[in-house]
Amino acid sequence: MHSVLTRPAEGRVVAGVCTGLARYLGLPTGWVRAGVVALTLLSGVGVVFYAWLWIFVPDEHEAVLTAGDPVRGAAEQVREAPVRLGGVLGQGWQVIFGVVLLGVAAVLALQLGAGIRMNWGLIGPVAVVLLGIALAWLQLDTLRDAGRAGRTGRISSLALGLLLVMAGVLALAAGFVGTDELWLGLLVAAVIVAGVVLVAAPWVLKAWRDATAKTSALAVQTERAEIAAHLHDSVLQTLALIQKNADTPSTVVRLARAQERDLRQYLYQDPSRPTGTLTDRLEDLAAAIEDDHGQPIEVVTAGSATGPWLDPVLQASREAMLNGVRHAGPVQVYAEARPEAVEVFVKDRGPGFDLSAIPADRLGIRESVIGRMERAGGTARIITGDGGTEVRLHLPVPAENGKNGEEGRQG
Amino acid sequence: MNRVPVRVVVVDDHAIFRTGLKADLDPSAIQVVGEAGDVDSAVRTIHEVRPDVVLLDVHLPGGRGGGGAEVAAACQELAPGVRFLAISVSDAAEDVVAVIRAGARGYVTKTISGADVSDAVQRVAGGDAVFSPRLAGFVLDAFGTADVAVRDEELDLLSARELEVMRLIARGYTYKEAARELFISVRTVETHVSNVLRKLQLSNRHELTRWAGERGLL
Repeated sequence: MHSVLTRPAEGRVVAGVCTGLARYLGLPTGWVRAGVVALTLLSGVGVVFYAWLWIFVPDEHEAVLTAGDPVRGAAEQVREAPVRLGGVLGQGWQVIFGVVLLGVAAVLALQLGAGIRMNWGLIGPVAVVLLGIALAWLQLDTLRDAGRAGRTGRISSLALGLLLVMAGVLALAAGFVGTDELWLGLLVAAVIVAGVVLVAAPWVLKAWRDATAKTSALAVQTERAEIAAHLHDSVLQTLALIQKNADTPSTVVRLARAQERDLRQYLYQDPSRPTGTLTDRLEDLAAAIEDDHGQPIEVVTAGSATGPWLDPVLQASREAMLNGVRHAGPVQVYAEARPEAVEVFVKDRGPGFDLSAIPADRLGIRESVIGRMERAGGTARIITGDGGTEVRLHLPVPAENGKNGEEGRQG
Repeated sequence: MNRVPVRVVVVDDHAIFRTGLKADLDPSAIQVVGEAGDVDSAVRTIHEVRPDVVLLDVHLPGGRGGGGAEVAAACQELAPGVRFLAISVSDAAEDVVAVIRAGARGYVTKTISGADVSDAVQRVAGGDAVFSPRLAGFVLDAFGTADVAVRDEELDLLSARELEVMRLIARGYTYKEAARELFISVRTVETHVSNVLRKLQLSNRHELTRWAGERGLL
């Protein structure tokens, strides 16, 4: 059971009145709906009851917004808007149309079956007025949610609703008074409305502007809160750590570097980019090694590839990077995914080493790099000299992946 | 080249960074003749002092919000007397490629050492292009890595040689090392790099356009 009666966004058919009521009372939604329909069929009270609740029970989001935690409310609102728009516009219409048809059927049945003479001049206009009201109100519920996309559609529906109401009222009035008086009345009404509009327009405009400003302020606030949270979790923590470790330069460099990487990712990374690509995985590996050893590793990639067949080349790259930061210092990594093969180059500017002088029991290079690549069907070459060391890894794309590799490369 | 110092204007919105960069530059080869902190004052200063090289931050306040690319574009009539070297903390492709397409002769990151940036400034002053590994990576990513062309005159394609040079730079080779690796002279490597830069600035290759479009550069 809910403590507050609201009209929820999810599961609504017309305006969420029954769903909200069911949730509030702790009854199955179906029962409440059946009750309202039954009330409608019996005396029409159901419709009045429904409309009354529609007007006075707040939308779930309005309730959240007024109940505090405005930032969260706004975020949810933004997130859920598209779902609601489709649901409300689609289903609400069908139900209203159905109710109208049922009403017409009931009246016809009464006239034909029971022989009761109907006052069509009265029932018709009233029905039109009710239809117009329903149309206009349905727009009110969606007005807040959607962006510019659905605006014209909503405004035209609203105008149509207003037109229907006016036409209905006029037709109703025409039943009571003569045509001449009606025209006079219309004229007077138009003058009065014009006067009211003249007086009220600035007020309405101001209220509208205030509301718009408030909405955008809320959005800015949301964004600020998100950025502040991120900065607090990352940058402030790192700065605190750096102050604590001010006397150990290597730790400071490592912390700063890790923070830089994190911030870079937050600021520049394209969120739509698929994860698990060669680039991603290499960057993750490099980041972990940077954290452990405090030496920068720059990763540059061209093309893209995905799949478990990359595992050997990634593991060999990791071993090569580790060797580089341990024995040489900063490391430059370049990976290129081509349709036929993936190549990774790991270069450092250390003093170099003598390959043949590595003792046989040291497995690092021999097993983890060369052996691993050869078992996977690729090659590894190590070029070392005064200008540093470069490990060159080459892994052909497996036959069944050929096509995927080519597609993936396009990105 | 060392006898006449290269006249440089430093454009960056952070005064601390400008001070640090000025202190880092080799004083025997480089003379800082001006500095600016936003787009408008940068354009004004560059027109006034006509430096050989402008060290240009990619992100700048002011102007029409175009940052470094806007400065480079606004000073186009001063070329080739005034050359631009982009310097940024950003590795984002859109920032880098926008400023290169606006006319910058190269791009380095702010974490570059003083010696390296001095070297890069002199290189740009001499009319060469300065490609960091990352910029080379962007080029390879944009133009595609497959060997595509023997015909060198095509703007939209990298020649096999240019591709090789780009690849070596992406791997962290200096121009000298790349020259040794390919058995060509350093001068030839510089020519290839300059050609790639020209293609990057002028090419309408549809893949480059698409690539740039995806990243919101156009």
